[in-house]
Amino acid sequence: MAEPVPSLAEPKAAARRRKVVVVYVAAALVGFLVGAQGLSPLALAPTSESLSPLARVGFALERDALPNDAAAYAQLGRDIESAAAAVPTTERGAFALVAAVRGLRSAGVPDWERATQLCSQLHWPRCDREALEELAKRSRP
Amino acid sequence: MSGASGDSTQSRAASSAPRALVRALSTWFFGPLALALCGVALGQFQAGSSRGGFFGAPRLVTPARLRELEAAPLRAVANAIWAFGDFEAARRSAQHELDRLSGVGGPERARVFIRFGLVETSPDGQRALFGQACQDDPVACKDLRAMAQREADARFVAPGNHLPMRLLPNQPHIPGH
Repeated sequence: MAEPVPSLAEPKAAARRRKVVVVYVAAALVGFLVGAQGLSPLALAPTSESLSPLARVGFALERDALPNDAAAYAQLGRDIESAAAAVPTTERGAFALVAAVRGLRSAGVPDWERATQLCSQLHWPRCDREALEELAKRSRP
Repeated sequence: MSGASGDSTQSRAASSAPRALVRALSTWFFGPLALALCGVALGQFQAGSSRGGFFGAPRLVTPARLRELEAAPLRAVANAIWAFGDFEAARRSAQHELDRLSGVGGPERARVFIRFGLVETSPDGQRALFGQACQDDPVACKDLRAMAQREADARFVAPGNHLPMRLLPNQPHIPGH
């Protein structure tokens, strides 16, 4: 009985299939990473926008209390600097005051001393502690 | 005979060339591209539902939510100024808010007109501002007094922390006002 002669085309086809699989898997993986990092200009899912510094400050202001996360607070400090540019020049003092009474630059603990100082600089009618505590509540978006 | 066979081979080769090109393009370009796009969609969806990093905020959000979050610091500043800012600061803030909300309309813009109206000193100006608020939010306008009272209550310093005379209940009607 004669042994079947292996065809030369078979290993070639198998190698081609492997190449196709590798390329397809790589394409899907690269697509996933680009999508997950918010680097794609295409909005293919409803959640397609990455948070800007201003949006991150907005997110922090919306929360009643923020978890104790040193890295996130460091990021928030940088975001406040960037976000200030979006606030009208005449209201930047008030923005700094809101950040102080909400403790956005001091790990969630209101910085009353700085808040009093900022409030006095704004020449607002009331800068007492009671007013500033009320301000912290009223400044929620 | 051999000439005829050569012609048919040539024509077969000519007709199979475009098909081979289409197959190669499908395999090596459109196929991976389609998979990459599926990957992008899946990645965006996953990033929107997963939380972590920045105080548990989602890494990706919808465009509407992004706009809302980006408006939040400006709203917070406006609320702070309305609560304790002096007359000039309150007026300037209302002006900035109206600029920000230009072309938007709705309850948020109506609220700014109410605030503007509460610190306005002239009755005519006040009437015009409350009228604008009614245009922007006809539903809340049905109870303009309650709407103005909420804003007056949110202000802790004068002016603007009390309802104007024309909105107080049981006021005699003054023609022209």
